[in-house]
Amino acid sequence: MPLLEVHRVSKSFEGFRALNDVSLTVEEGSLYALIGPNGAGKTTLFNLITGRCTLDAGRVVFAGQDISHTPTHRIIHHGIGVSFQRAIPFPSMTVLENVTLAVLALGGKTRDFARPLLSYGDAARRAEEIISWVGLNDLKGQVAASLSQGDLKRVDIALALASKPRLLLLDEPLAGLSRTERAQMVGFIRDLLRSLGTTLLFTEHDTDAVLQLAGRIMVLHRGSVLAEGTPDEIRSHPQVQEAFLGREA
Amino acid sequence: MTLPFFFLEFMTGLASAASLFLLAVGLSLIFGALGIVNFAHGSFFALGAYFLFALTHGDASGFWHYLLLAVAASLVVGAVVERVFIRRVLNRAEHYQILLTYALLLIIEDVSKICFGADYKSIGMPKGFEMPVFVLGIPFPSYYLGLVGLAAATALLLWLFLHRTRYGTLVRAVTQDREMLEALGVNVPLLFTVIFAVGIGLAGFGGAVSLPLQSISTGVAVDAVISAFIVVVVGGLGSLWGTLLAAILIGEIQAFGALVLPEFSIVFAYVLMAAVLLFRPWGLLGRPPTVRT
Amino acid sequence: MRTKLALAALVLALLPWLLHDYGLQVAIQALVLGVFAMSFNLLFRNTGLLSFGHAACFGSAAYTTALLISRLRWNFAATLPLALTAAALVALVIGFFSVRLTKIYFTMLTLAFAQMLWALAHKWYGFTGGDNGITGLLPPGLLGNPKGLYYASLMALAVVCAVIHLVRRSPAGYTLRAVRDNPARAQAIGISAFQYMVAAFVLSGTLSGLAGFLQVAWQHSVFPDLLYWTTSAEVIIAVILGGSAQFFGPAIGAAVLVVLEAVVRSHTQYWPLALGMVLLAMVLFFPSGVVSLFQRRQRQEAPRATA
Repeated sequence: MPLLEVHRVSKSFEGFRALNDVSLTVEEGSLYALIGPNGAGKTTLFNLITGRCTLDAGRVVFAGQDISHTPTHRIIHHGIGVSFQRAIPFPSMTVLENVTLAVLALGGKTRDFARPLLSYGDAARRAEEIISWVGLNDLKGQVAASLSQGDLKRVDIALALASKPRLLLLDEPLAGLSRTERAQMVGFIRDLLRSLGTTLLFTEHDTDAVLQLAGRIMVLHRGSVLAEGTPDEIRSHPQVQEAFLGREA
Repeated sequence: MTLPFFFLEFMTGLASAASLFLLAVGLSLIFGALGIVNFAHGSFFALGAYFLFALTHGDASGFWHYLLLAVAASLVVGAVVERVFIRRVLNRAEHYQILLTYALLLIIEDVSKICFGADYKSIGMPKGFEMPVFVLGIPFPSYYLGLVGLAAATALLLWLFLHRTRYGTLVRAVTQDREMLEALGVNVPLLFTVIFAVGIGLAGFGGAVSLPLQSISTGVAVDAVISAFIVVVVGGLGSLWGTLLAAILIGEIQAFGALVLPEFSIVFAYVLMAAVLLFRPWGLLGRPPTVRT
Repeated sequence: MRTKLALAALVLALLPWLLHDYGLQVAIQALVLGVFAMSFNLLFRNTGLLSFGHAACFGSAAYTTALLISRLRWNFAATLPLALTAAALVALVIGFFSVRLTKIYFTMLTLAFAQMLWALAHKWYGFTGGDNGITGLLPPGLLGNPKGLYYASLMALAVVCAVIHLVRRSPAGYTLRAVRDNPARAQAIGISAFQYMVAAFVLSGTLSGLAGFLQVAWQHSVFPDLLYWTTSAEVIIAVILGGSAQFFGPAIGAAVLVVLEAVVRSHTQYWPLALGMVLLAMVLFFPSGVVSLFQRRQRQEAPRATA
């Protein structure tokens, strides 16, 4: 059963056609990657799915429900967890506070102004559970601003997992990481999702990592779909090779 | 309302508009290029008037000569202020820029009081403008025309400078992309000093040429800066024609508003400012800013 | 931290017995500005929004009190609920429209609204007394007695601090900080920034109204000046001078500002000049505020560390 379906979606910005009639289907349990050079439209597509901008044409359907016009702050209630590019967690708070806030936001408790954040026992416990999934138990009392890039990304993913989503959306999860950190992150994501059974749709620049991680890949080029298929199919696709494979550092 | 009377009100509004334009255009320029909201702008407007008064002692016979000196003094003050103070807060958070320029407002206010006294200072009409002009039987100060002419000439000269000279193109470019200019080897700090000085010079010029029609005291600066904000916001921060259009709009609204609801005529200007911010925050002729959703 | 607080509380409690009449008046003035500054910082520290409209909340509460007493012969203390309501309503209107704008445009719109209110008070002679204001508003009983007013103001400050502390460590407080730290990330975890920022504005404005009420009790009068933009500038100065990032920074800044003014004014009429120079020095040399000068280490404030 397809978990996410994007039907013929288009988007223009002041005359510039960012996305042109793009469709994709993500099956439950898969790890799906969107790749393409800068300006190909990956982030635009990502923003359309997550409600950060409105689409000009087409539909986005999640688990049978039309979410084409759902704004970002409501997307999570459908069972989708989101992490944006460079949108790191909240630096002034500790890891535990970060994730607890995310859990409370899901539960609609963020209007409460009387009790301290951490006194919400259920939420805090759930936050600790999620923090253990991402392997940051030791750092839960640390202020986010003092964490390394790799750990920050894990906290960010923890925030996205607060809603126990069926679908996780990550925009360039490897951006800003060193070579070793990237390898670690790839392994981490793969193991995490396998154990949680969460579906993943992510955009990424690093094609090597994508070929290792993804089960299915879509290549975007100048707003249109250039190719779609398994890593092997993509690797041997003549147009993709010509367009940018091999040019990647 | 009869036609002559209408025309008188119109000319009064136009004269206010001329003064407002000269007051605000420097602020717009400074904000456009340096990104700074200058809370002391009204103080420099007042300072120009004070310089002129001090040089002429209220006697308008040497008006035009001393005007040049007053403007020169304003330019120098502007350059010094930018070099010593403004430069240090260019990349800091807004509230520091606001507090710094507010500090300058306070200092200039008291220094003016010390140097010139706290009472109202005025000057007679400059030579050639002593007699009133009669249109349709109604007299009004011929200097209204003079002031409007000066403002129009200033607007035109500014436009020519910004769009027809190399240096002016640099000024416009720095509004768009400061880093690129630096990368191209342009001396941006010097450019900023010049722009700020010109902005202050314009304010000083405005204050000086407005003196025959509007006496000056130390309380004027605090009101003037708000008027400048209104004009610049309504017109569009950084837009020359926007500032001119807004100045005319507000000048006329206040002139005619004073007939309809004399006590509340200033409210109209604030209402206009709020309306623009609510429906078109980038002003009538400005560029769209970020709006939070 | 706790011992420092206890000591400070003790000193503040005993202060009226240690000061002469004039000193007590200065202390009350410091407390009133302190309430105003702490309230302002509730908005500024947690959202980053720099409002030039708080004078409107402060002044509308003051005028409400003044008008109820002078026109309808209300009892002084009884005007408090309505004064706070007026401040809240003003804050709601200003906040609702302004919060959707960013940075300087937000500041300008709050300024525009506040000036509108000032213009009304300034010109509506029939209703507000215009430039002459409303005078002769001597509160009976406790509030009319300097020592009584001092303790009432001190209590008000304590209440405001308690509210701020409560909110800051509550989910709503964290939500505000999340929106300030990273608006996109906040949205992605399900937070809609708008409502929270308006709520913060309203709470901040309402508590500023409490300061406005105290102002009338202290000065026995209201004038349009209370609504003028320079009043907003004054509270911003108090906050930044003390240090916005420190919990008690605004209150300390207010105290420093008021005491400094009292001292300078006793020697010269050029207080604006002195203040201008202090501000210049602050912006250039100690931008984190007075309190930070006394801290040996600058540390990232993890919220659990706040008392």
